Amino acid sequence: MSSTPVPESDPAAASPDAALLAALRSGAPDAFEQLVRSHGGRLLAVTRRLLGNEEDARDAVQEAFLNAYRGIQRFEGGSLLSTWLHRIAVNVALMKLRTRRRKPEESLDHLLPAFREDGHFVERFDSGSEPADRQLLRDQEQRAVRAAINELPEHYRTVLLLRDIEGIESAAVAEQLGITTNAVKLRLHRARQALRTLVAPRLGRTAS
Amino acid sequence: MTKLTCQACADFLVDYLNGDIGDEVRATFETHLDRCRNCRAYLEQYAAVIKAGQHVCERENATAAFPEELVRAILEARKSDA
Repeated sequence: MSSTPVPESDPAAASPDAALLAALRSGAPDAFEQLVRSHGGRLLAVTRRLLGNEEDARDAVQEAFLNAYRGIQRFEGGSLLSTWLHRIAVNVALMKLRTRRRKPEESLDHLLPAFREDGHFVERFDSGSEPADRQLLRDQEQRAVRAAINELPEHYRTVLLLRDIEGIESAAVAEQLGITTNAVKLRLHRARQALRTLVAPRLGRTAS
Repeated sequence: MTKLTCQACADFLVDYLNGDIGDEVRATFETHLDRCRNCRAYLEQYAAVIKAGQHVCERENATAAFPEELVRAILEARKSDA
């Protein structure tokens, strides 16, 4: 496979980020709109997942873009623009979560596996004739997984989203949520176990 | 450590999948998995839901439309912010 080499002397072609960043910094009239249009959809998907409410999600994206605009001169370009914007949007969404009236922490013990006194699982697990990961990639199962994530209590869903979906390191999640890294690990484990339980009825079925 | 129960094995899943356990514990864990079909099936399902969640959310990210009225609202807000 051949590709057209990018001339080293053309920074805009070598990095679309660099070109947009330069335009933003110089105050080019259309640059901010380009930033909003090219990154808005993804950021809205992120804030929708974290906040679970369309109005709050839209407010968070708007605030994130305004924060980005105000901070563009301080952005050193050490990461991709998309990564930087993602971080800002996640921070805004978490701030909104914190300011919501605190709900008591819901239990998900009923979704965790039970063990016998000798340490064996009570339940027998069987993934059926097709590997579980392949089964869950079908459209119907994907929708079920998505719905199951939304069913998790907020304290657990937030950690699962930040760690597994948004790919944020445990230490950073701990700092953002004001909990220890061990608490992050425990919540993540319980959230994943609960998610598995919720999705389990979809597993072990014969591929259609 | 020479033997793990299924319960102890389940408690190691986060560290195991993250590559955060030492060689000795990993070897003990994997010996248990070799011998315990139920734990293997559990681990397979546990890992599969993580992967499925990532897949469905990546697709959400890639296909999320951005409403025109929100674009307009953000551009207006920026003007009044300036």
